Amino acid sequence: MSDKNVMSVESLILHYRTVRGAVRAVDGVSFALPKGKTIAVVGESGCGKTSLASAITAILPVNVERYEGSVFLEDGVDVTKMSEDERRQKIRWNVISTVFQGAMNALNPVYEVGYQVAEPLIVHKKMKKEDAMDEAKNALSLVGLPSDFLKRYPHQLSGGMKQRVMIAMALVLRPKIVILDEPTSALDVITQANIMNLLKKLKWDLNLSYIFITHDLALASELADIVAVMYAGRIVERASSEKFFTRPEHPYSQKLMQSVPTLRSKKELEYIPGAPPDLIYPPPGCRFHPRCPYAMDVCKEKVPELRELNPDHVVYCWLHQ
Amino acid sequence: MLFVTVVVAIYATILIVNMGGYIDEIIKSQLLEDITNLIKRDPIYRTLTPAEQDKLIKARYESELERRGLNQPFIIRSLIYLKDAITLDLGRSLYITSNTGSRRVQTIILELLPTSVMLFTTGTVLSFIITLYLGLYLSRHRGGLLDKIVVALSPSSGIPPWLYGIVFIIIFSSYLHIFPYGGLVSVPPPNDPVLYFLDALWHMTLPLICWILSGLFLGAYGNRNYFLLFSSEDYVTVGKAKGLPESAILRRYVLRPSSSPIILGLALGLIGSWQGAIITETVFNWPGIGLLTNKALTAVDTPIIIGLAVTYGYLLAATEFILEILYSYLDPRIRVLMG
Amino acid sequence: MSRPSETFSLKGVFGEVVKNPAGRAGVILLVMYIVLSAIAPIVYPYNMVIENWSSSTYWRENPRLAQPIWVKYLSGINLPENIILDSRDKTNPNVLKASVSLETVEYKEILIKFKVFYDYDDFPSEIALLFFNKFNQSNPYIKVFWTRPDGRELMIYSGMQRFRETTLYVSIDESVRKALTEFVANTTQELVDYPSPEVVLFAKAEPGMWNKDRAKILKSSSFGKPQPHVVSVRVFLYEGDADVDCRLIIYGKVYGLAGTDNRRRDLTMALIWGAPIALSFGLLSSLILTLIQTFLGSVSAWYGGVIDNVIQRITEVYMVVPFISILSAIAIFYRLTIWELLLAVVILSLFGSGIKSTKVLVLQIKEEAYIEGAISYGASDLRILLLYILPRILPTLVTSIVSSVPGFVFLEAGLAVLGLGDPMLPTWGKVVSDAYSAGAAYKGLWWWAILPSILIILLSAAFVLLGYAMDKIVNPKLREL
Repeated sequence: MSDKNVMSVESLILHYRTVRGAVRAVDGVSFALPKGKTIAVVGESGCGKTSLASAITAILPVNVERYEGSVFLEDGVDVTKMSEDERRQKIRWNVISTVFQGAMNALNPVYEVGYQVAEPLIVHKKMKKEDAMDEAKNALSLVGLPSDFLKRYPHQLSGGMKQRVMIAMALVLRPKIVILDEPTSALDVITQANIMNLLKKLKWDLNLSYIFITHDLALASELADIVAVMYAGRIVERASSEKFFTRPEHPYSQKLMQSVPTLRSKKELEYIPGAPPDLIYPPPGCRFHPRCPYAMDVCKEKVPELRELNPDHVVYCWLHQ
Repeated sequence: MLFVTVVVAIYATILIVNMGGYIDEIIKSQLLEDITNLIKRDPIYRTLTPAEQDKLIKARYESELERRGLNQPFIIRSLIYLKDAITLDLGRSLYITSNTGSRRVQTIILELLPTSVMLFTTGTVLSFIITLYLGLYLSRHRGGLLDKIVVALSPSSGIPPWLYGIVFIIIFSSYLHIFPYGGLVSVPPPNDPVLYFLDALWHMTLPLICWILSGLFLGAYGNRNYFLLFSSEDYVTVGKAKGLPESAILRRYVLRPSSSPIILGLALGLIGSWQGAIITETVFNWPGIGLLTNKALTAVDTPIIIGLAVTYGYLLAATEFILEILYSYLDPRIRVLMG
Repeated sequence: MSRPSETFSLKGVFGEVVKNPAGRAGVILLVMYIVLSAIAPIVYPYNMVIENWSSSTYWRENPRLAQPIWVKYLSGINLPENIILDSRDKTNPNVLKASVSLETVEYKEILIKFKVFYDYDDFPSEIALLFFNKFNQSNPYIKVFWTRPDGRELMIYSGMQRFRETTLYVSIDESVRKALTEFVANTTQELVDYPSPEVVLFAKAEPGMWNKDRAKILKSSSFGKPQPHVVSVRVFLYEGDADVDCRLIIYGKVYGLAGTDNRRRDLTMALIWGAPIALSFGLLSSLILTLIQTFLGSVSAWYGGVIDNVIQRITEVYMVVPFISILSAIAIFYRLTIWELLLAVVILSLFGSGIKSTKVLVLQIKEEAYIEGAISYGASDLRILLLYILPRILPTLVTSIVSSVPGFVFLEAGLAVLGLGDPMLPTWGKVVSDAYSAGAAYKGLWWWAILPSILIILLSAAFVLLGYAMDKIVNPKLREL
């Protein structure tokens, strides 16, 4: 792994077992995250993005069927191969932390918010409660929340406030990598904008590297240095944001771009026909072929291989072979 | 608010137990008959004329009525009963006496209350703890062997403790002679206090086992499902992502948020135990207020019946009250609602 | 947390239930009980049951406290069954009735002989002789002789017959015992005060023959050619048309599928009849209460406000009322039949916890958009309740009904144990209660208490299993668990 990468994911696989069969949520995902940069993982709902977050930190559900691949960190360790105890003590929240959708039930309803922010300090850094609460106060102020929020309970906060708490909580141990899993999905646009600004500022101030998981291309464009498009558990295109937003190469990426309204140019908005694929019995060959306007015979049979168009632009599509 | 409820409940009991005053009529006519017989048969009064005898009877009757307070209409008396009941002035029993020979209902009940508490509160609390931890364990080892065993045995749980009691007494006392047939201590009881204590403990074992078994598997299974549900909450995933140790996650992220309905279950269990104990105590001949209830009902000893109803009422109310306090402490969401 | 998001068809649910192993077991058990309930009135007609369950004469010829017949096969001991011989039975080769001596107008002698081949491993429990006497004024005189297989003979009774029907309780009759005391003294030179006739008559002539623990059975087959006991009744009649018939009952120790109780009643009848009674009581109470509580809960949730408040307050009062105390008080004072008991139970449980859970459920549904839609198009409250809300709560409702049945079955049994049940009907609870008060637990009369208990337990298990399977199906969250 090159020096400037803070994380390198290779062929990560995560399948779940359900009554109907094995769900192939993450089916061979690879990318590299350079230090101090943001990679946006974009895709529709149901494409497996959230499972990706679990897969990276190796938080596996009870019904895991298959978990393979590697997640390399700066010093060469592979998260997937570590013991659970090691992961818990050394990696989680220390090196990689996660910001979940705060409007979900992500905060423990029976504990004060300040305590929840301070909790990692008490547990990981063995701090005393008073010291940890002081740190928590700092963390809250970092995200723009006053100190009297320390004593509040989650149900006393609005969606935006909860999201800020989640961010403060994620940063309290000064991790290197932060996974942001749909951090603004349930918020109104104004709060969304505020949060995005906050995230940008924090990244700059604390030299963080983000993995930004979202379905919102427009939002991704604000933060991303690299864009990876995910479809049916696989990455179909990966490029620097410059290259991606000017010229997406994969048909799916193109369709995505075409369905987002732009401010300055006139555009015919299009949609993508069909429904997201079944992750239990995905289509053979290229998984996008049932909905792809350029589908060829080979697409139905063989999985597209990686094709590097540029050093920072790869695509998985038979059109480019 | 709770207090009003208790009052209403007690009054209802009083009304029913006294059959709306009908009992009074029975007592009165019985009284008249007794006095009449007494006077007619007593040789001292033979010398009086029938008319004089009648007058004497009437006088005796009236004074007796007044002594017992039966000369007032039932409604008034029922209210007096109510006032007495609320202030725990429970009067004197008709037939049953306490171990010390007292007829005061209060004494009788208080004498026997501790033994019931000893057995059933211990039983309920033990049962609660066991089902809690069993449920917790099962929720984390879902699908394992123990899980399947518990599920398979859960139908056995509808069975009330007294039925277990009858069956177990036949098996373990009559056939195998491991446990005694019932009662608090053997007859004659050992003199040495330590031995006495152990003897009582030995007598307590079988009823305890029956009490805990009844409701064990279903309870554990219910708890298991309950914890599984709570374990799938989002904040639990967050807890895991935070790298918290397993024990902390269990305690802070699963148990604590789910505690209110569990405490409710415990309270209901306690409340239920006061009443379910009646038959169980009867089967095991356990000298507590359950057995007393049975005896009082058979002997139609009204003051005791009412006294017991009052006791139960207060016990229930007290349990509910403590429950409400615990509830609001454990779940801040409720605290806010209650202001 | 969750929403009842699917509607189920009852047929679909049933299909799923059968697929689930627990549900299958429950259904099988339930079907067995239904079959039992259907059989009951056929094998034992209802009127017969009511009349005879409390009578003492009907059961006269059953042994008292007999174990079930199959105990013989399980224990390997050949326990005795009833042997009944009647002199009016003309076809039995072991019964002989003949006139002896001249039939004149004034004097007749009849000889009745019963041959009993006895090869059981244990002594009979009792012996009785019933006499059916036809005479006008002159009482017949009888002498009863007992000849054992080993040839020893003794006269066990002689006396005048004063009534149309008399019974000689051989086991406890004074004169019989006296005769036997003499017999024992003569046979083994032992002096015993009150030997048990049923032991002595059937024991080998050895020391200790009077002691049921030490005596050994004198079996008919122990001789080269099987020798019977011969009970001879010599009747002396003093009227031409007088007649005496005799019925010998040697009571065994086993009887029927379920044994007998202390009043000689065949427990099989109670056990079989217990099924329809328990089923109907349980189902009816459960059905009525669940329906009423669901209704009250829905109303409480739908209308809210004052109605809700009132219902909640009443529910609170109910929770504090000591249910069993009051129920017992009522049962004692009013001597209830089982249906009145059911009514009392229902009234005392009306405002129970089911109301709260229904209310929560309905509240969630009420918030949903399509309800709002229905209101806006002017649907009446009743219409909404029936058409929209009811189908959603129906599966939970049915599951509730099924799961509550065992509670009521046990309640009825429990009340019977306390002595508060229906005194006329043979319910399982009553049998257990009778057994318990007769001290069955201490005396080892296991079948009396355990057999009905098993039936109660299995019935409740059936419903618990069914409820469990239904719950798993109906409650979507549980399906994945």
